[in-house]
Amino acid sequence: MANAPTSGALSSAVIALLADAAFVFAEPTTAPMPAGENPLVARLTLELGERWELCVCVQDKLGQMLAANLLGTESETGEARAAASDAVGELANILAGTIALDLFGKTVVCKIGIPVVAMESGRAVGECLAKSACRVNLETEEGYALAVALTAQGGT
Amino acid sequence: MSYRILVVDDSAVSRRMVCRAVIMSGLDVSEILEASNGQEALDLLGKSWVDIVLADINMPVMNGAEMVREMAKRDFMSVTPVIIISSERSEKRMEELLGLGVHTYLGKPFRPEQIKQVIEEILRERKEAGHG
Repeated sequence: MANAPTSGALSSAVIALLADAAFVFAEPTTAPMPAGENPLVARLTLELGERWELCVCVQDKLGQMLAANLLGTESETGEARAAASDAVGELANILAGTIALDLFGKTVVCKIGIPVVAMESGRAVGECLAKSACRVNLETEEGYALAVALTAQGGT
Repeated sequence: MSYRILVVDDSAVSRRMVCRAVIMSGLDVSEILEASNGQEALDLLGKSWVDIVLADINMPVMNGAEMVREMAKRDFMSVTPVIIISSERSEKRMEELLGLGVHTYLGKPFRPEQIKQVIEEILRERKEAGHG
């Protein structure tokens, strides 16, 4: 495989994409996702010679904000609430393409799976993220938490 | 002349973003149709004329590449320009899709002005070919 992606490179890719695609401004934090909340989690497979799983976890309110920003509407509308899961899935999809390009290069053949989005328990998400060597915890300027992990799944 | 546009993506949020970009482009659009996968898109294309298709690649049921292959088999659909808008941006993937006859390949995230630019290019080409 090519050079293993680093948490630092992942962090830079996620921060740049959030600002560029969704007008969300975030910074790295050492604080974990709030354990008492059930975040929205998007998972998708990413085939880049080797198979990876990309996991994007966001606080529910951040999911609504992402939806509102992508749709050009207000965060507290029913439309944004209804589209939160779809927006987190779309963010994971776009992020997968950015990771493939930024961390693996444009000549690597890439196949991105369809994101599966669900609300998962905060504890299970925390345990899952802890297993990944390439992960980043971020906090938006509004104070919302977001975590992204890229985990090798073995050969394709 | 007003145009009919078809937006194909399994994500409703993504379809909405593309629709907004088309509207913001200032193009005289009579109708924007939406489909959530390639098969739905083929069904719509079989029923009514569409001037330009904007499609994702990764979709359930029928993906964008299969849709383009199926369109090429049908005379009346084979002339419809297809713009692929996808998060997959590897050179090989782009070459593959362009080789299938896709007019333009745009990576996500895209900017509305990119959509405008591509649509204007397609319309200019059609006019020069005497179809405008």
